[in-house]
Amino acid sequence: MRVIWYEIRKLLNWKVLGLVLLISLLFFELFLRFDFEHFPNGRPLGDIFNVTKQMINKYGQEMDEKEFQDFKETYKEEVDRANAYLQSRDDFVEAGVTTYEQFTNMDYEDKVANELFEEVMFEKGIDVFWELQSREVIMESYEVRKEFFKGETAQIDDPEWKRKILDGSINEILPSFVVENYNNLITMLSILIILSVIVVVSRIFITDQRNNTLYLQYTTNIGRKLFKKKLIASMITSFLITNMYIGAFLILYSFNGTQIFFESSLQSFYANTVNWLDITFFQYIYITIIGVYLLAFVVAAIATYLSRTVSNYISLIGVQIPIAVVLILLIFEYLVSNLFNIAYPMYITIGTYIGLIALGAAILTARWRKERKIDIV
Amino acid sequence: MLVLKNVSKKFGDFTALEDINLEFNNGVYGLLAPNGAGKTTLIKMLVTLLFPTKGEIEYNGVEITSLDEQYRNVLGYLPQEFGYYKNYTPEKYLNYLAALKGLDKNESKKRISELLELVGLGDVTRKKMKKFSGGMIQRVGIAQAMLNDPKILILDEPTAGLDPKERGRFRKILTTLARDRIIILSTHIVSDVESIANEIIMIKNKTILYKDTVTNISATLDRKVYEAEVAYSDLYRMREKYQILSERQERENMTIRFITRDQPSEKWKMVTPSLEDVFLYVYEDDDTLAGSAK
Repeated sequence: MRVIWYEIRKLLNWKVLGLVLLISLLFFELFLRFDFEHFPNGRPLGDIFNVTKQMINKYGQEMDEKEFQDFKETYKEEVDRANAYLQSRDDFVEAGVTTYEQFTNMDYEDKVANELFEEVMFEKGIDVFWELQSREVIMESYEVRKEFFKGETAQIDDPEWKRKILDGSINEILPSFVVENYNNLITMLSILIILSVIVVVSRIFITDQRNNTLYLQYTTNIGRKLFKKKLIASMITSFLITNMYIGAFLILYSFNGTQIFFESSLQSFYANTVNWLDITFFQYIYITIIGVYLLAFVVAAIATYLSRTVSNYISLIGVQIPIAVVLILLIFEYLVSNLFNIAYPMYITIGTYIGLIALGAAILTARWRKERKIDIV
Repeated sequence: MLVLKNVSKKFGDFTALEDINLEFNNGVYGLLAPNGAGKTTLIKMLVTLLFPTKGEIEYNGVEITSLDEQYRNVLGYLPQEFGYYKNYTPEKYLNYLAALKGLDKNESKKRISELLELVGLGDVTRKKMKKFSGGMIQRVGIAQAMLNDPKILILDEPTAGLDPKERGRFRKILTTLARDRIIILSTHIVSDVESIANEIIMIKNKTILYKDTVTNISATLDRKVYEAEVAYSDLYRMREKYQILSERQERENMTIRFITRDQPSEKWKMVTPSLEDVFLYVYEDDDTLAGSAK
């Protein structure tokens, strides 16, 4: 364990950590800050977010038909509030707009009507009008939920799976932008983690190769087992890096205030995609994080292998760029973002993970076999 | 006892060493040959970095690869290119290597401090090695090789890049360490081993040419080495006719040291051959000098 600890400390030297910190700050500024700071992004998303949270407080994670009627009642009450507001305004009365229905049917080409609308919605930002708009979006989504699901899954011949969702989780409350926001963040985070693991772990052998310390290391008690020790050090380091990022991410993400949706199914009526697995948002977060750890380990395995086999830094960078690009593209497609989305057959997602893990294991096993009998010239 | 039995090493089609048979008991052995003769290849096989293509290397009767870490536990090695982390202090680096050698943390602490004192680095144990001279780095190298109190200490070109003062100091350290262990010292500098080696091993044409004491090896040129003072005008003729070992200028003439089997002239002075004479004689026009086996 002492040797592994030394190797980890060598990997995590302050210069490398400084570089990783710099990359992280840059990445945060360019790709992450927005989704943390501007969530939900403006109106009406903020209003929908608030209304859906109220719905969960009132109905639980699911809204059945009976509760939907109650939701409609609430909508009517809100309409009454809007009507009262309009009737309290002389300018609206003068323009002949005294009901919410008239407000929504105003001729926006008309200068006066347009000015009134702008004032209510944007200058004063009267909540009830935004809220009504949000409730309409929610009601519409709820009403077409089954048709939407059937349309999206028309090509899938699995009636049992469809029936289960249509009878159950399709009534659950989880706005699509909550999942999209999480997807954006976890995707960029996983790319950042992969890049950081590559930067840190790639040095595991090459620094020793370049400065000839391998000759000393391989003639000590540890001998050829150094490969295994360094591999363990790489894995632990990638685990530590991933932990650090995931920890920081979860802390920052907690401020997005989406915890109330954790128990809702991804197959909610407000979803704009369909997933193979009928899982909760929390389970989805859990699975994507596991996916990120797996990817970090695979990248660490590949980086360790290349660090041992490639003879100089330029080649090491050159070889890893296409690998990183392919992984990043796959992350965007289905490895982290849209994990289990029906856009891809599930066996592709699972197969890719198994393939990557098998590839990592295979190259390391092959190297370990070679390591035992290779000449260190 | 360390024994090489019919050991050969090939790199692809290139044969670096062929049918090497050697036996090492406690004492200092000087492995003397020009660069490219196969010293480093031999040493790398002795320290398990290279595996023989043919033959066996045994320590106390057991093949060293089957002894595995048991063998490496009694091994101390200073490679030709001593690798180190320039931002480490010698103390930190030796602690790291002690961990690799499987030494107890507390015991190695004491040992490191003793060794750094021994090699004259006691006052810079916590200075970064990037500020060290070549000689100081080489002394760190010797200290690390001695960490596990090895029974076999193998030093590959340990004096390369050292100034004469450092080389003298190095020989002194080696003499201190030379008890109860096998020390194999590879070099192409005769003076490094002449005074301290119990036996000299010379490699030529991929095989062992000599393995004997300095006296016996030098004796192979008995009555063949002469010194003569010659005028500059005669120098060219002498060079053509004899194998010159050394030349030095003395006033208007040159004093040359050379080898001949001819009837000696009265003006010549027969001298006692040295190891250096043998080295120069043996490796004159040696084709191994053009080799590239490391």
